[in-house]
Amino acid sequence: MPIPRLQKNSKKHNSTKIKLEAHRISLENIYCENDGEPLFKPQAFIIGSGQIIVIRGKNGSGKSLLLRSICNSSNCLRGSIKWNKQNTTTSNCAQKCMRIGHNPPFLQSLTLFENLQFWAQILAQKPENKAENLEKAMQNFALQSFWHSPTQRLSAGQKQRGALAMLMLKPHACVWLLDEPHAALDLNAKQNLNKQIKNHLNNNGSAIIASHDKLNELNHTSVTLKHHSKAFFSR
Amino acid sequence: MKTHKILKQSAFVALLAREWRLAKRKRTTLWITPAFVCIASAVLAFAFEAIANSNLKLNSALFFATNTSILMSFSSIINLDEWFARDSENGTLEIYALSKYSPLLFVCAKYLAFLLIRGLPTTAALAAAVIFYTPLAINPITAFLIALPIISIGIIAISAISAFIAALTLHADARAENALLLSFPLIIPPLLLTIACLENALKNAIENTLAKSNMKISIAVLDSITHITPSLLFLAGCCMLALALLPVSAFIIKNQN
Repeated sequence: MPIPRLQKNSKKHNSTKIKLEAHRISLENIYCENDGEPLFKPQAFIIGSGQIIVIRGKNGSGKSLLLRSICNSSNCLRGSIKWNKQNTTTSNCAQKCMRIGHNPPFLQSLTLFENLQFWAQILAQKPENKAENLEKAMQNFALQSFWHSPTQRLSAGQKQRGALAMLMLKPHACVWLLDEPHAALDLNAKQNLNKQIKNHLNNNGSAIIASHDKLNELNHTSVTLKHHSKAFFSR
Repeated sequence: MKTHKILKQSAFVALLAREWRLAKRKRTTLWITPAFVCIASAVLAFAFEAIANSNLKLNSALFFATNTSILMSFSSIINLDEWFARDSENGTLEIYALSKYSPLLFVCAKYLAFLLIRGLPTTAALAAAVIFYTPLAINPITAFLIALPIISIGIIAISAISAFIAALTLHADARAENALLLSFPLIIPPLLLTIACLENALKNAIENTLAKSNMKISIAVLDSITHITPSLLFLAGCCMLALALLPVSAFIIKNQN
């Protein structure tokens, strides 16, 4: 099957790059609950356009849950989120965020193209941008060689690249929430991902990354999640 | 060009197309339910000697027992627990929540895809199976055409209830067991109404056949359907109530996720 090339749009999308809106999100006293028990000590941090926050912590400390909670995928977040100094709900945040987790949301029997095509239709803000976003995803993450392969036959790294390519399908997302995005990627793919993150930051975007890697290439602020002690909360 | 065309589809069509592609890849999805219905009805027909005893008078008890068995079999094999589970487990629901579309659109698309991919062939297979249980005096095409709309309404109602149960049991520990347990009392009313409608309509068709042997098929079908208008209205009401559960299912999914 030929790789879809949308020649008419390829020139167009280079010229139609829209700057994301400047934003400043402050998360105040946030923590996640698991079965009614706080997972980590309350955290407070601020992230604005062009900034990266790296969430660190031991396995099971709640990094993934925190990322999921920020974008409304889990209702166990406590504390407040302010978007440009105004209180906001997590459902409002969901519209402005894009999260890539451990598990790519792909149906194994479908090809990578079919899966991404579906997500292009669901995530695009304007219908006319769907094809453009899909081509960007394919080109920016170099997916051409396995574009028409069933997802179940892809390696972990290829699946991860496919999942990360979904970031291009929601170009209006200001905040990228990336859960261990460098996992399973080879050196080239890691460098390419860092390049994409930098491009996003230059475009007024921001990123919250849960990672165990050092991420020296990216200028970031670290937030470490520490396991709560019951005494802390009973005070 | 083809890519362009596909990409211009709405999100609803995208969801439908995804389910269809998946069903096409897993071909068993398309034929397993109708095949099961055909085998079950054929075995039951021979077991009850329905074909051998081609009495002119419909044996309603036999008809009731066999069709109940078939419909119950259908309701137990529709994989209630897998309706939304696959999408929940692979993270589709979480990413879908980040889009501008409501969960109701997702539930409706899944429901319609289920109806088209599994419901439609199963309805046709069940209507064909009814022929096994009708006496030879009645024209098989007439029996099929009478059964088709009645079973369709029944399947629409049962599938909507199934969607609701699937949403309720999405994160249950024993998903399959809970789904089957919950499905039993909820599916019984549309099931009984469907069978009652079917039985009455076919009875009327037999009476017509006995009275006027050269009656046209279309007139016989219309006459039998209009004969059962009150119970058909009950079934339609039941169907509407079941469809009203779809927004509830969407709400449950949104809050459970």
